[in-house]
Order: sequence, then structure tokens, then C-alpha cells
Amino acid sequence: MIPRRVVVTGMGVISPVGNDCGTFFANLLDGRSGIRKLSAKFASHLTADVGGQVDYDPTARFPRPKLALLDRFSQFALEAAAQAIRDAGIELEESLKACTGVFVGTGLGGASTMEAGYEEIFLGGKDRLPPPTVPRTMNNAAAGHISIEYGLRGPSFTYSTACSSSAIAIGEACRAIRHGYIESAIAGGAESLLTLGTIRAWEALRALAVTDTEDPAASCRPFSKDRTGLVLAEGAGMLVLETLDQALRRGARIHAEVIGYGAASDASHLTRPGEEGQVRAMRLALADASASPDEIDYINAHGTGTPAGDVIETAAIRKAFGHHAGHIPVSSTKSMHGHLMGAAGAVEFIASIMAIGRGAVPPTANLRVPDPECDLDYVSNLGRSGIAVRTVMSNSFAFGGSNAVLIGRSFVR
Amino acid sequence: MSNLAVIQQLIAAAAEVPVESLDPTRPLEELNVDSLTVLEVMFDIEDRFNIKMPEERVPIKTLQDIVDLVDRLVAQRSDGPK
Repeated sequence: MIPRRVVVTGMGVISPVGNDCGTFFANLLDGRSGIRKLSAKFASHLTADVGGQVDYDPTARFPRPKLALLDRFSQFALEAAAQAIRDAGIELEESLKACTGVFVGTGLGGASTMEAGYEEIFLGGKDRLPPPTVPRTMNNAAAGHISIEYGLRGPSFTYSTACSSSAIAIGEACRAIRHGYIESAIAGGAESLLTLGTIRAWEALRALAVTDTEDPAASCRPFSKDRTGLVLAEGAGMLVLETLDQALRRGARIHAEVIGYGAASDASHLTRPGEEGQVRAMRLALADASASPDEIDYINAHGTGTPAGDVIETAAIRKAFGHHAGHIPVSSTKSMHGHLMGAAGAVEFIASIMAIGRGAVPPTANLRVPDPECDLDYVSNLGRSGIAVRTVMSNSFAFGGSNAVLIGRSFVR
Repeated sequence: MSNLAVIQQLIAAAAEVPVESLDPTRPLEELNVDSLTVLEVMFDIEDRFNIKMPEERVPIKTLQDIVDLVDRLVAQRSDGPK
């Protein structure tokens, strides 16, 4: 069969810089960071006491019996999915529900439920846990809930590849649609892991940023010489993906077409990024898109703000793009929303697609000191508006060496 | 308050359904009470009546089945050694 074209008709986001796409992108474009001191009581014990927290009241959205079954990560997933489906204006009638799949990326799934469970057993001496503990913590909970909420009877998948989880979820959803396995999909990611145990585990890796005591919001500084590491964050991003034909037939507004997806493994180190794997993922995405490097108008970098990671990604971009590399605006929005881990790929792809729609690219915030080893155009500190953004690339490079790259392009009828 | 009334209150609060809707003779699924909610309420019932649910599965189909089980366990608790 002829591969079908895949388009994005709906987007939804829950993030430290906004709980809807408009607010999210406006804050990013303005260089406004949502990173702040962690509000949890346990934060006073932590060295790494900043994070990208979502500001939202679950009781306002979910009735108590439903909330009892929802870890925070699933709550975020459902919120973002609801926004995306509303945004798409799609009529989910029975025949479509039967061939709509759910593709969710997450790193730790129901982390806070898991940790609360450990507290009860090991610290509280309890001999039993709340019954919904298992269905709340399981990594596939979010996908399950989305499927149930909207009656989606197509296949449901959960990808857990650390920082590239939701980029891979989106890429795989597009492949499944392209090759006729399903007609449409809800795809994206969700993560909520700002728990004491998780943060302590990350502190031990010595990969977290040192809190900027004068300006906590500026703690994440990708590509800046004074960068000290990544800042953990929570949230979710979801897309409605469908075939171009279906979108046109129902007169849907098309945000962008997903034209390329590349995935490749470093096969070198469990945590240290590998340049070759990143280059290959970018090249594969370009080949998949039948696009040449000079066609890319904006790259949303993985750009976590770690001393090593940012240099390696810079070198990889230079290798994949050759002499075009210096002419392409590259920014890391993690500087403002933090590292959403399993949800990063989705949220950053949404930022990239919105750059197309708004003709504007968000900056890399907090880039105060240029680093000679990081010498691309990082759109330092100030967003850039009024530019032609037709084709965008979004990078997600993960622990375990999983690299995923997505390419989106504006669709013109 | 009768044991039935206490149990109805616990279920009504957990499932967010009106107490009046909890007809003790009808199957629990018909009362809009999710199976996970029932599991959770069983633990609340244990705490409230200071009883322990038996290891063996007792068939529970209706609210009345729960009340009968609780009545039996409470009676055993009173008769048994302290």
C-alpha cells in the first residue's frame, strides 16, 4: 500500500510554563522560565531543590472515585489528551474509535504512588497498600486511561526509553498510521517524578543543576559556559495524529505534517551521550522526510544543560548539517520548562510545531556566558519573531543511548 | 446506626453516589460502584469494625452479602478470646 501522510490536528500541554498551548508557547517565546524552588515539604532536605513543577488542582478536574485511580502522571496525560482532542475538533465515532491507537511515552510511570507505597510499608509499618496501587503505578496507566476515557479500541502502547520516550511514541504512532495499521492516534508523553526518592537518585548521578540561589528560575543553562546540569520537571504533551486524507475530508485545521522520524542507538554508554548515534538519528529523520539539511528552519535541541551533553549535541548537529549548521537557529526550551523526561519529546515537538504556526522561535534562556565549544546560533535569551519557519526538527537523546528525532513541516492546502 | 447504614455510608463516600441509591439487594455493579472502590472500602470496613477479612474468598455479590459477612465477623470477634 502507498504510505499515507500523517498530520497533527490537535495539541495539548501541561507544563511548568503553562497548562495550555497558547500560554506555554507565549511564555517560551518571551524567555520566561517556570523553574522554581520545589514547593514540597521534603525539598528542605535536598541539595537540588529546584524543579519544573506544574501548577494545577486535580480535585477541580476529577471526581474523587476517579482520582483514586489516577497517579499524577496519568492526570497530566488525561488533561493533555483532553486539550488535544478538543483542539482537533474530531468526532470520535465508533468506526474511528476502533482504529485509533494510543501511544504514550513515560520514564517512571506512577512514581509518586510507588513512593507513597514504599513509605507506608517501610516507614509506616503498614501491612497492606491501597488497592489501586498496582494500576496507578504501572507505566501503561496513562495509555489505559486515555483509551478508556475516549473509547479508543485500537492498539495501546507505552514506550519507556527515558528522555526519548514520547518522541518515540509520536514517531511510532506516525509509522503505524503511515503504514495502515491504524487511522489515527493520540500520541505523546507524561511524567511526574518530583519525589524525594527520585530526586535523591538523580542527585547521586551528579547530573542535576546547582540551584542558582539568586535566581532559581535561571538554574538551567543549556549551551552556556556556566551551565551545571539539568533540572527535573513534570508535565505532559499529547497530539492528535491522523491521515492527511481524513483531516482534509473533515475540514480539520492542520497544525503541521509529520514528515520525518529517525531513531538510532548509541550502543556505547549507559548515560554518556554518543555523537554518532545522534548524527545517525538526525540523518535518518532527514532521509525519512526526504529533506536536505538546508531545509530545516529551526532545531529544538535536546539541550539538557549538562556540561558534556550540550557539547556532544553541538558536535552532532555540526556533523549532520555540515556548513548549514551555523545558519540554523537552535534552542533548548528545557532552559525554561526543565527536563520533562518521558514527556520531553512530546512537549518539545509541540513547541517546535507552534514555532511553525507563529513564525517565531523560542530562545535558549539563561545563556549568559558563551562557550567556545558550543558555537551554534542558540537564539540566546530573546525569542525571534516574524521569521519564516516551515520545517522544524526536534531532538531527544536519552540514557541508554536511545536517540529520537522528529521533523515537522507546515502544511499548505 | 446499624451495620448496614455504616457500610452504606462508607461506600457512598468512596464512590460518590447517594446513600439512598445503595439498595442492599441489588448486585454491586448495578449500583455504579467500581470493583476497585469495593476493594478499598473493604479495608475501611476492617478498620471501622476492627475485624479482619478472611483469607478465603467469600462470594460478595450484593451489599447485603457484605453486611452478612461483617455481622458474622463482628460476632466472632465478640465471642472469641481477647
